[in-house]
Amino acid sequence: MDTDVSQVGWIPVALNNAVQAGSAIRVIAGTDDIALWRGKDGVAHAWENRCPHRGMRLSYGTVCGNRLRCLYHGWIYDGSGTCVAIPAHPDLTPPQTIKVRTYRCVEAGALIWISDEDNSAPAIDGHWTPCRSLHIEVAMPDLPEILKWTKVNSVRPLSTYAADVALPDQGRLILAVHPMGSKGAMLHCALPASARRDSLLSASHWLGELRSRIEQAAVV
Amino acid sequence: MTPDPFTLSHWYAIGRIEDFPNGYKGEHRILSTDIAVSHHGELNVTGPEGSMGVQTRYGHVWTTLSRDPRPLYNMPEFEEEGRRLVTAGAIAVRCSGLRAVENFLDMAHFPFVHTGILGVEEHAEVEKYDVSMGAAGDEIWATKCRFFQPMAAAAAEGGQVIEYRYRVAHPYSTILYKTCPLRDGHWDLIGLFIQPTEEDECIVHSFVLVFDEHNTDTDLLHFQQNIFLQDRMVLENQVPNKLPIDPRWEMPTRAVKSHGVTWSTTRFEKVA
Ligand code: FES
Ligand SMILES: [Fe+2]
Repeated sequence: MDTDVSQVGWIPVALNNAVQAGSAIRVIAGTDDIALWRGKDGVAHAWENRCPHRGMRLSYGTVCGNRLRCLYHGWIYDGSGTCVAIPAHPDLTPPQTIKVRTYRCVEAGALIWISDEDNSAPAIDGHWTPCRSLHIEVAMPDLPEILKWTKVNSVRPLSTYAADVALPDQGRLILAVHPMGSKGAMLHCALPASARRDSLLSASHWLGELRSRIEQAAVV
Repeated sequence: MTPDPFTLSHWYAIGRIEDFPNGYKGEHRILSTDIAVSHHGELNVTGPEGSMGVQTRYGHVWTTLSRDPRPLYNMPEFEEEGRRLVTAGAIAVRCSGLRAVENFLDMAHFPFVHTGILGVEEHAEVEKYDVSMGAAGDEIWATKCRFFQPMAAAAAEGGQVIEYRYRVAHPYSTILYKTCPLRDGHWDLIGLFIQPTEEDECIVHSFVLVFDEHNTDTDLLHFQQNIFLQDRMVLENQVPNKLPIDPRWEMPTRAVKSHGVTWSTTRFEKVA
């Protein structure tokens, strides 16, 4: 599945606990390389993973307060992606045109979602808790296809890539698939915040089995 | 892509002299071309069109795909008494060799990538320096480069402002001349001989040619290896890994722009 973020709306790229306040990680969405980081204020940002200066991956950068500093030459970008400081030239006010390409980034249902489009973000009621993320090596089938591999009582789609589902044994959960081009895909799972430890363990186990079924189906 | 004529016209280092002892036979690669190297009394390098030029200089074996190569540049310092040559061997890096040159010429990254060794964040400012063409017109020199360094060389103790000169003698060879902390009026040399294997892969051969009576060869080697390891992490994480040459994207290196180099570079339209 060769997906371009700009065509497909909101992609769930990580569980919300994958990136802690004050840190940055790298995620792949479709064919896009993305720096996902969270300021000290807790706000998550998704940026193109390339510094406008010499192209260093910004996911190697350091979060300074609510700004991101590139590892290579220490250029500092504010939350909007605009360069605010160039340490090699401390007297220079960086031109406004030095700006990182950013994605829209929201959190809902214990997931971090990104989009390139102007449409509204997935609406998810209630409080949720992150359960598990798994990597799948094979090209990921679409979500409706995946749901055929497991028994479901009901399905409410949240975007092309996620659904709020009720399972006979696990109860309600959010199942998200996140395509990563040639690098396979991720499966993410979140549970209602009221879920107890045994429900989390059992959902985690269920997700592992789902992955095995998807991978086996791909081999045949 | 076939290499452009300027890229093809040069000599490239393929390893240290001691890496090709008598009896040696091995496959190597330059500019996306397989070459065979053998040593039976004398060194032979063979490419797709037969026997190729070979010479040993500056501690390394050099070859060229050109039938009419530009002469290999001069480094008279290699003849000076009292200097020590330490070579670091071949390090493969997944980036354009031009990216490695760009990195080497760049003082602004010292405080952030080589923190506490070649720079500190409190002294990140890069002052103006002079850029000129060398006498023969095909070299570039950056002179009067000054930078505060907490530990500029293996032999240095404590921070000092170090004066540098950078020489781009060849699109894939660059030498740093640095004030010698032990001998006034002398320069220590640190350089890279880059062997471009593919447009986005290279092998870096580096050397140190210094006046230094205090450190062992191993100390000097470790200092260089440590610095290079830090650079390699950057070089393998730059996007794209070929050198962009459109001014809207990044500043091109002058060496690349003035000679019509296209191999191992990428156009803006392709990466935008
Ligand atoms: S590449 Fe990011 S600051 Fe230079
Ligand atoms: Fe460096």
